Amino acid sequence: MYFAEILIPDLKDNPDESRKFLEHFISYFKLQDLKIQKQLGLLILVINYLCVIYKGRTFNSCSDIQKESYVKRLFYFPIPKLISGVTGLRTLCLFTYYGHADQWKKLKYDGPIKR
Amino acid sequence: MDRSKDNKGYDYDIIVVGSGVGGGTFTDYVSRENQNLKIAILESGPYRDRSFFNQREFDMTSMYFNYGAVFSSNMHIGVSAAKTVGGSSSVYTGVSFRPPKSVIEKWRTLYGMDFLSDKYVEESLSEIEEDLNVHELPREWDNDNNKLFEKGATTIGLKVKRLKINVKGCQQQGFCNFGCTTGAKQSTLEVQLPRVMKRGVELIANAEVVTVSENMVNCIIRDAPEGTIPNKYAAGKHTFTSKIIVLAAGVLNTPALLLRSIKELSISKKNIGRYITLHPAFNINAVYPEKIKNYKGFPKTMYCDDFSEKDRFYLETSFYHPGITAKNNPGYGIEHQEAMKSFSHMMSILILLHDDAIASNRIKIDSDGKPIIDYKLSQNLKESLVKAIQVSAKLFFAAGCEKALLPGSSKYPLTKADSSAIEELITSKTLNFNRTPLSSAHPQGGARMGKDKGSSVCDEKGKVYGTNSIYVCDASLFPTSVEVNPYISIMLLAKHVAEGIRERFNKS
Repeated sequence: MYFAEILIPDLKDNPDESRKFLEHFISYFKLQDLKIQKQLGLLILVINYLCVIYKGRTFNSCSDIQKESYVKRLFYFPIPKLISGVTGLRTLCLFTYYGHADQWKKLKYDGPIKR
Repeated sequence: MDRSKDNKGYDYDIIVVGSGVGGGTFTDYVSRENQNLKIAILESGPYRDRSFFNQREFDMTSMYFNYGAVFSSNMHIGVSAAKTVGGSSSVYTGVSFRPPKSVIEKWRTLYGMDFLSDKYVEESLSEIEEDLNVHELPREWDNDNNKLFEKGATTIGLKVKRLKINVKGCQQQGFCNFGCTTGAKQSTLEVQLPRVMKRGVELIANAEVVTVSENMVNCIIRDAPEGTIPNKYAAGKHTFTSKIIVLAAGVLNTPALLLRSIKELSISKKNIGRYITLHPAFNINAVYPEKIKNYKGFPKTMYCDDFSEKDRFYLETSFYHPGITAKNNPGYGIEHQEAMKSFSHMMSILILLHDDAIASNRIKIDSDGKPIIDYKLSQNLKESLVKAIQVSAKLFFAAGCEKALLPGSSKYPLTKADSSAIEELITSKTLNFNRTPLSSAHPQGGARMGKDKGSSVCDEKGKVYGTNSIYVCDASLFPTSVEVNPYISIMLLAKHVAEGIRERFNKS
């Protein structure tokens, strides 16, 4: 969730949106192939582990500035597989957030013709 | 016969694995003059008719393998392959390119596909196009996105051509990729499958084929998901026998199925899965001062092939809804979020790259027999992509955009002031595929057709070398990339494979 807040700042301090996002994220995550679920679970562990190494604390307990600088670092990390994994997680978060009707008004998107 | 509880004894003349463009077209042709043949189509996806298509982006991911999340093993490219009755034709836009003459010539001379004479190709394509109502759409249907594409392209001296589309009575809703709610798109779901079912062909959905051997298909039928048309058969393991088995499960699954079956078929795995091409695609957006509503009207009416020969790419107009657009726009945080709030002012271009058929790019299987895509984007392809982004950026600004949201640019976003420095700002050094993955909706190859047994999987009739009853009939047959949206080309080969099998039945 904290990672998603960096990608999508509107989620921050917005419990209603955060709850909906989390519900959507979990439902999409559960639909994924078991192998992908495992890989994503592992990636989240690695992100946290590296955060402890680089920031001296877990991702969740970092300040906003620390979180932002750490996420930026992840996208430029010297291990290509890690960048790809983080990019994959980014895709999942953004698709989950913007792929639902909750956001249409904000985007001035009229949405489907078929109601 | 009530087969709801019986797991054995299904005898057919032909079993087709897959109900997409290859399988549907094949079945249509093979059953035209042989209506006494007993044919079944086994489709791994559910049977969804148009009442299922609710135009919701998130819900419609269920029409794709792994809900749209299929990636190459290096995660540089995501592959969209449909898992639904009608296959990818249920979710494509209806773009109906003829295979380029240069490609047909290459297939004929380098791969021994002599049947592709100019006369045969012309007659077959004309017949297919007439059947599917392939035509250029009227200019009144060009939405703002298409108009801006034309304006920008002509301003920078590019030639714009009109796409041919297979629609009849289109309502221009703009949701083709989530299934056509009116049935106007002349997809396999709407044209060939209803036609063959009237002729007595059996369509068995939710049937995942595990292995094939000579004259035998082993599959698992799963329960139909909620909201889809119920199964006729009980869920469980089923074995079918058939004189001929035609694999048309798509590029991810046809090679994987063959690889899972090499022991049963006693064939070499040497060439199976190899030489895949993905026709990599890259979607980019720009924000304009005026409202565009890219997502309304017919999404695609124009393209530009000026760079096809030298720089190996096409530009097409395109549209995507918010979820995919968010993924395609670069970056994250405030900037990304603010850009998304301009969604209704965005214009979109789709870059399609012509990739070479290389042996190391291939479909493998994991320990569970599931497909793995081993695919590496070459340096040449990267150069092509950089050039394509540069050209698109110039097109965006020539059409009056305020800012271009371009992955691979050292400055984000690009504004009009940057338009004179596009070549310096977008280079192969600034483009990193780990951060900006591509996508693919047109995978091809993996069970290539060819006269040379040493480098091909199937002969010129589509029969798998070393087998007697196993054929392939989908884009897996392509020996190289067809370099355009492949549906009409798949139909051309499906017609040919059907003619060969019809002849075989007639002889016997």
